[in-house]
Amino acid sequence: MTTTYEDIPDVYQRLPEVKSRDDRSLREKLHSMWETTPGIRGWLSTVDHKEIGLRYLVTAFIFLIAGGIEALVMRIQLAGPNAHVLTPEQYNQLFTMHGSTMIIWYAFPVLSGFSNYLWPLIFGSRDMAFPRLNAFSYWVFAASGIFLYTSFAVGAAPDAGWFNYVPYASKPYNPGINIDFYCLANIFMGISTTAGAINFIVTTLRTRCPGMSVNRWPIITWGTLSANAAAIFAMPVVSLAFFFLWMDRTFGTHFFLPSGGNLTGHPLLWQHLFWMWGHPWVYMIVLPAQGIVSDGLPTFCRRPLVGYTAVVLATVATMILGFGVWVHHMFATGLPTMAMSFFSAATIIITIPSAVQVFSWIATIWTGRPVFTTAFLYFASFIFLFVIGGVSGFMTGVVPVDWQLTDTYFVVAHLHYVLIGINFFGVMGGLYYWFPKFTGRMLDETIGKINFWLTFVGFNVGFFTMHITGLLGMPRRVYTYPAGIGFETPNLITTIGAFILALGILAFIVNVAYSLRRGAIAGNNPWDAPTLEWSVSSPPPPYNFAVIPSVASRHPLWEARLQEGDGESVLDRGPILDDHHETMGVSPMDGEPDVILKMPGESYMPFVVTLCISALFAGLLAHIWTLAGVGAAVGVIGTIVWLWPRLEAGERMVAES
Amino acid sequence: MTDINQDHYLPAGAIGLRASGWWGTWFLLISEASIFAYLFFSYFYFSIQPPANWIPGGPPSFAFSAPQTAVVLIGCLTAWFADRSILLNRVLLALLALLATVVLGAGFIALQFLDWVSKPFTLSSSTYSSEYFVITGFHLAHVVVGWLMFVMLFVWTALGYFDGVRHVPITIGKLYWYFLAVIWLAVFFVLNGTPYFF
Repeated sequence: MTTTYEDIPDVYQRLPEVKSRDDRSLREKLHSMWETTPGIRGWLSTVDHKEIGLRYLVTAFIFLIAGGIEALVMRIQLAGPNAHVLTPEQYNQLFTMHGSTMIIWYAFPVLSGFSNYLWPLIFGSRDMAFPRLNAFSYWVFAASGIFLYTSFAVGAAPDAGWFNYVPYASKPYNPGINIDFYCLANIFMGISTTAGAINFIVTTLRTRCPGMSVNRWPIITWGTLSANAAAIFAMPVVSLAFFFLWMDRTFGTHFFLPSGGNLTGHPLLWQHLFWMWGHPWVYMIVLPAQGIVSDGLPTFCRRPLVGYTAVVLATVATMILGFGVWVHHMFATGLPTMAMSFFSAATIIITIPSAVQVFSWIATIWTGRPVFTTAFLYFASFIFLFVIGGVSGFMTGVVPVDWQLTDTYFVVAHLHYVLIGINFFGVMGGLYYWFPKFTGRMLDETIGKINFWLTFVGFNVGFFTMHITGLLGMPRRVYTYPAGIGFETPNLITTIGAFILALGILAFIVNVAYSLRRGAIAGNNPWDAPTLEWSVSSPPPPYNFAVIPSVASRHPLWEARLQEGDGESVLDRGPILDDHHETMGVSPMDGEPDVILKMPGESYMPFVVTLCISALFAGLLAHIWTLAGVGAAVGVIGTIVWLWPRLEAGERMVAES
Repeated sequence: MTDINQDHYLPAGAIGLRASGWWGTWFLLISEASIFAYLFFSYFYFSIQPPANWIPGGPPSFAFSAPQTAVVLIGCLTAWFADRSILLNRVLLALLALLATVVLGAGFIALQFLDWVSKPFTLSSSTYSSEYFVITGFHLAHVVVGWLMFVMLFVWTALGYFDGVRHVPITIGKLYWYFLAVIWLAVFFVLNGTPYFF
């Protein structure tokens, strides 16, 4: 029996036509419809999530290399005592740029790259919920990074550390343009992160294939979803903090500067606002990486993840608890004991959901049949490094220990175990895992093993030693140290380790260059993995799925083996949705078909509006208010053009015939 | 198991609240609301540990903020009426209501500027003045966005783009105005109300 919606006029509804996915004329039609225009026009206007995802990955990797070079220069300076490779001011600029590049312009965007590429593919959809917003968030990310690095070109890079404490970062003590660059670049980047977060959330809730109910979401969904849900709460606070500071520096407001009487601002407010974002951010840059591990590791253990539900709950719990621990960055500021006890306890409690994930991964390996590929080695070492970074974090979460260790190299060691261990190692594993899907070719396993062991050994040699440097009492952020107080040997070892790690990354780049041309042809599913992205060709066609699949279990490609679910996923025939760009919109929890969504095509507006915002920020930086005003005004016009309702996108009324 | 629904019609395009924009707006507004939560945090951070005379001249007057409250609440009615009218395919009434909302938005903006020039202090006079201007300024910026939104909704409706099914931009406009009203009530309570308590 055919059912229609009685409350919706006939002209607004239709019966989706069903065909086989092998229909050649359908594929040709979809291909010409969804393909990016060749040349510079398509390059500037594309909204293909795969194109944007790869751009995210490549751009973030360029920032990784930039931040890595900054680190190596610092390690040369610190290799021996009393060195003068760098002046103190140069050193300040380098550690500030290194920290902010890695934490803000590499660690989160690289994960957004994976999610951008993979989300529609794992969900059985043809694009993200907001394709143009997706392009916009990429352009803004790239533009804000260029904005930040312009500071290097004019010799005024930010120099107050990535957490930029006032009053040192305030105008009287830091009169140059350095900190203004940093404030505005962060607000700029915040636009990208927020836009991307909204896109990921709505994509997860809406643009999935029929049957993909909440319990069937691939496990990788949860890390990114938690991180981006956190972003919409956390990004405003850091943007606001940087806005306050910029106002203090530009218009003489009194948010942070203490000066007595009615004028009293408070420097500690900066630390609160910064870490209210800063600590959630830590989880935002590790949870999606943990999602990559939870997704990739089981494939190489030849079994589903142990404890899907427990890992989901642990992921969400970690993110929520992550909002209640920010004061552990401020134990040394003289806050009341009651406050410190509360935040110390909250910090320690986070070990519980973290341990749930660790034991799930160990159990997956233990009960599986591991295949020792490079990706597996990265995922397995991720678990090991997570434990080390977790334990050192737990240690510094205890108030008296923190008092001893704060601002020493112990903290530097801890944060690198977190950022490299449970972001970078997950990312590398993810690249080995999905590179065949991205490019159609496998990464070379021999170079891969060299790459892995160089990064693993180099990282541990360099950064485990830093724990000891810190326990010996060496403070962080000091450009040199005297001879004869025991700092020489550990610093030299760390420098050697850092260079081995860099060699490892070089080996990865060599591997990519080699494998792009000579790598083995991957085929659809080289790892025999269970999720939908592996059901399409490598690289996927512009339209992803010729027909919208419907799924009946969490592992559609392993169904025959696992016998899970109460039916069969149907991948080889389904709705063709070929009237302009279309994909399926489903109900958020149950994955019931709800609407045929009409998606926008290519547009220059995301790029144009990004240029306008760049002009706005350049004007604010240089105090050229007309430039800022023109940028804002043209940006508004661009946004109106962007949002103008179009008939083919199903945004305007249609007269009943 | 969901079957492929060969016999199930599906709505296509922006149909009522099935449009992605409606969902996206909610999360955008949650994020925007967070900005104000953090602004209030920074305000109370100072106001609960005040130096003497933290507010120059005592609690702010209601001369402009009370009319502003009235304007923004009447705007809720006109925005609601615009949405209601388009749902019933009454385009002319919807246009009138949208126009009324545009006028009210302009009135609110004018009142805010009058309030600003009536203050005996400037942005950089004190921590209070900085907080005051930045909090009201953030709200004003959102009202300006809302005003632009209703201007465009008026244009698009006049061009005959919307009907009782394809109406989600107007519904989003209504939601946005409600957001402005809720945030204004919070701003009003914090700036005009709480100084009498601490």
